[in-house]
Amino acid sequence: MKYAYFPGCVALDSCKELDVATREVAKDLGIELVELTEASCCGAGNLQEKNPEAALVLNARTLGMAQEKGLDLLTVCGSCQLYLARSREALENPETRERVNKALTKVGRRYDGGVKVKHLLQVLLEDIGPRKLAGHVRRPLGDLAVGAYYGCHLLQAPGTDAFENPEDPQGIERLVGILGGSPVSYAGRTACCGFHVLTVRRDLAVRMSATGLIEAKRAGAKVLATPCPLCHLVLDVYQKKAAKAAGEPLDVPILHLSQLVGIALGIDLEKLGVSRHMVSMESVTRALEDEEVVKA
Amino acid sequence: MACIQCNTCTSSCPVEILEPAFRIRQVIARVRLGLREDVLSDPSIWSCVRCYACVAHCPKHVRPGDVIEAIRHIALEEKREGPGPRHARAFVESVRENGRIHEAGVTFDSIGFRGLIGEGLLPLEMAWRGKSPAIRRRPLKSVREIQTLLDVVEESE
Amino acid sequence: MTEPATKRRIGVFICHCGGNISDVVDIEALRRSAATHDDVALATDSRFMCSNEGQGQLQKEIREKGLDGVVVACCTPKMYEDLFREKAEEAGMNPYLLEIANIREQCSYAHRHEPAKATAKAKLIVKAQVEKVRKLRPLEVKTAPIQPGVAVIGGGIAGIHASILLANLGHKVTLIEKSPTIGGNMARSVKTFPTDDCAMCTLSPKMNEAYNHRNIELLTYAEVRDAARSPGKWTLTVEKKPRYVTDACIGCDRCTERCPVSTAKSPIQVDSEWDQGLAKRKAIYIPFSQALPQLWTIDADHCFYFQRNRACRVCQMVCPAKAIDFTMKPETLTVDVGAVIVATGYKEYDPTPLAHLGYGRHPDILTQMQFARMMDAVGPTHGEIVRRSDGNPADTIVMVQCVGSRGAPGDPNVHEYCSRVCCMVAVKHAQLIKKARPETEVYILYNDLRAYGKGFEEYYARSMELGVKYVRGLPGKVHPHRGKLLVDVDDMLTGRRLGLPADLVVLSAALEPNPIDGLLASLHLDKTADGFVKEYHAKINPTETAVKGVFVAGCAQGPKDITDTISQAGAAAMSAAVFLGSGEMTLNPVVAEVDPALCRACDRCTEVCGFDAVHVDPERLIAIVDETACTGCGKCAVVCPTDAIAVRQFTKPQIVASIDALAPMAVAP
Repeated sequence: MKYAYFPGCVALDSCKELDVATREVAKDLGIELVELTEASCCGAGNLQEKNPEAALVLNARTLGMAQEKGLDLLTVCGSCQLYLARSREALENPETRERVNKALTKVGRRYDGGVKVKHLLQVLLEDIGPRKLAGHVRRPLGDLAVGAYYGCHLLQAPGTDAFENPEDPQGIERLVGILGGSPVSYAGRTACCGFHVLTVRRDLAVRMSATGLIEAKRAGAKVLATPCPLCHLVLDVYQKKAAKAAGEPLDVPILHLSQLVGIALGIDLEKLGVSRHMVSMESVTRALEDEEVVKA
Repeated sequence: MACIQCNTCTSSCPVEILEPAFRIRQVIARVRLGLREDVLSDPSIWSCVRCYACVAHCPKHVRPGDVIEAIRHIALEEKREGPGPRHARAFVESVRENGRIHEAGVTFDSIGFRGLIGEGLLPLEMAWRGKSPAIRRRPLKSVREIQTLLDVVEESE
Repeated sequence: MTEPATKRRIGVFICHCGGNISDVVDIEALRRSAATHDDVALATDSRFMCSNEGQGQLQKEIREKGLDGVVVACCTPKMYEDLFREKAEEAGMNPYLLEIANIREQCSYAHRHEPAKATAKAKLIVKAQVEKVRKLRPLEVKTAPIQPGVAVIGGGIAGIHASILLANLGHKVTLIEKSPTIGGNMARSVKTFPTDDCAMCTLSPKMNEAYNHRNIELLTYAEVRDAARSPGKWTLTVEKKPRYVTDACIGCDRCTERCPVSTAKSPIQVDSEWDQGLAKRKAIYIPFSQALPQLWTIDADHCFYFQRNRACRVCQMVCPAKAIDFTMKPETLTVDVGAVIVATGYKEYDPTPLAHLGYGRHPDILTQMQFARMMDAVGPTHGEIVRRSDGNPADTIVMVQCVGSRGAPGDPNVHEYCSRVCCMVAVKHAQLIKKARPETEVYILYNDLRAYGKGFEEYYARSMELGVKYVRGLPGKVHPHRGKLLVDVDDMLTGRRLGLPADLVVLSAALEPNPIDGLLASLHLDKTADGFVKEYHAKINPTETAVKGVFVAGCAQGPKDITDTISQAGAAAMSAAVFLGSGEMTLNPVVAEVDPALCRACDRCTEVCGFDAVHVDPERLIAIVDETACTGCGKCAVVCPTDAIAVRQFTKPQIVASIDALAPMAVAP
């Protein structure tokens, strides 16, 4: 199994641990990641606002890079998945492609349509599949109550409705089950964290994430797993501010999806970069130490 | 526009719960009446978090979230000012300079010194944890391609 | 199609139309030009051809000059063609030798500011019609017998009402209903707005009248499988499903009590159609206690006897009247009628695709038709309004309007139209709840509140006095939260974002036509874009269809309430009665005709005919037109390779003559 890996911007910067954990997990599961080191930012909505055609062209360039290698694209971020998948859909129209390729030829690139854009969650559940994944689990998550925080963009991305109902997604809960864990459901799991106004209206993002975190805590979740580093940033880095807005302590550690999988695969937590998180992972580490490592 | 003002969009909006001044249904109504300056100068249009719940639920397929995107585009074209436009410009500049965005640069260009001070001790705490975004820019080797493409597209618009 | 060889005497009558034409077109110039054409014996004008004076002039000239062709240059033929033809006939000329030259809508109106050009154009139009008239032959108006009898398809209120009216007029009516009982959707509506009458109390007398009427033959548990058309007649093939219960049934209900289907451990479970899925029913059942006919029915698809190799005969064993007969077979009947009324009604939209409303994922989210069953004192909850999840009383009920209606064009999951009655249904249920249990909180979340009919606005006003709460705004999400259903909605009236904790959420789902594509195909009926039966004209003729002798009534044509349904059913019955009239139909002679000398029986015309109006006679090997069915659309003429078939008055030579007058062709070098 081989993919053109598109980590996005944040996974290589303030959420470096996501890239590290993803590579560890890929190695273990036998997924070969060919990183598109020269691919540009997906636009994240900002470029789409300023210059919609430019965003389309840059994403076409990225898709063309994957096409050159004969591979489908793998993302690890909800927004990257949404914007790349949207560009991909638009580029299925031959007239659009022709127009975009006119620009791309100026830098010696082109894209001819057909590349698939998949998020890691999709790849784990569909391409790898529950059986193979379960076979690699060496440290089942056990009683650790794991809540999912999907983030709105992954659920709204075109093409993901094949595997997730945006109103009632079950992918991460299923994944937790496959990893031998106890998924916890709660009302805010499909809520938006507000990342996209974090710089402009930090107050909104903090209050939005506070609502979700309180509901998760009340439902008994001991840790949240999210498939998007942007959500991770808000939920983790700004959790102290969220607690202040909520008027109560939160202390809910946040894991990237790759880290959650890595833990269950038996990979050392340090190697998964959890020490970089702002909200202490201590409660999780302790809970896991109580579980024995079942298979070496 | 097919909008029947049913309000499903606003009822789906996570921002409106916290900020009643932002009502996407009302923005659509104001756009339809041609209240251009009213809409383009309204700072609340920069409060939309792009969750696309309104787009998913609108029974008439009006795609209100995309309408906000279009309004912001016009506001940027018209060189409007404010924290929202400032952030969008900073972001795109970063893409132009680096290919991938330089988080620290975008943050600083968006909120400035004042904003950083407003973050309090958080930047220091992040630095302590090793969570801070990189201070140094690391442009892609092929960043010139990106710049060429951005220029080409601007020309042809 | 041979050209008349003799010299004709055609009169041209030009109308001033009181200035509408004469202000633009130079009448005198036109008159002079018309007089120069071949075969024109007279060209004259009048201020108003349609006036008594004008008509008198027309008749006088026909008689005195012995005219055998007339062109009236005036307004559109849709206005007065019939009138002028009638007057011409009275004066002794064959009415089909008269043509209208439209020099108003197609000339003076369109070219108000260019009188010179308008006049030139008018001259050409008149010449074209003169040339056509030169090629016209007199046509005879024939009559054909119409088969007596009417078939009414659909035994709801529309079908019942139409049947009774026609039967009272003396017509033999065959009322065909697919389910085991007549009554339709009205029977389970519990109460009707705005009078709050008990639905069954108003419906039952009509049901009984239809059932007992000596002129109505009722076929229930029967479906129309095919409809074949022959001149003046429709032959319907009706399949009667076997009930496996004979007339000996005394209605004691013992069989139903003992039937093992749908009991707790039974592997066969059936949802009750009558109770809209809120309860189960047995395999042997009567849909509701006032069903007509009062016969039990065995649903073979869910009966142990049929499904498990005769494993169970309990009903037969306990039946005191020995009315169970498992050997009954389906019966096929043919019904010959002259007119058919389609009254197949509606069904409710299934809101499952609207995922944010959660229908189908929680037992306390219902549709209005399901909720109506809860309000019925003899319904599945004995009239108690309770949460289906735990049986506790429902303290807060939230209704959502426009579910499945008023959507985007082309959306496969939502209809574009408004279903018209759901606003009033919601108001009805809301105020019934408040009257029964005033402490219940009832919210109606609406977009527009449509209270258009007699007594509706007053009904709505009373509902507000009773304390029904109206929220203007449709919800973004309905999801379970702490034992209730949280309805997230922004209210445009108060400007507040509300989270309503509902015990029951009732969705006002759209009305959809019943699936009758097979029936429509055999009757040659079309659908309008919304999926309902296409009426002849939405405004001026909503009960006839494009097919002669086929009428439509009730919700089959479009969503409407009971009052409008009854009105329309009456209109349809009247139209059918007029059609059947004296037993004879007058045939429009402007229909297709076959020249046997040219016809090669190649079948191209029969393939394209949308009205089953042309067939190839297997012995004579020529196509024969059924003039009772032909609408004169001309499709056959287009495809005929030998010009054997053409519509009278629109044959190739006649049309070409007009075209040549309008635009004489240059001879190719």
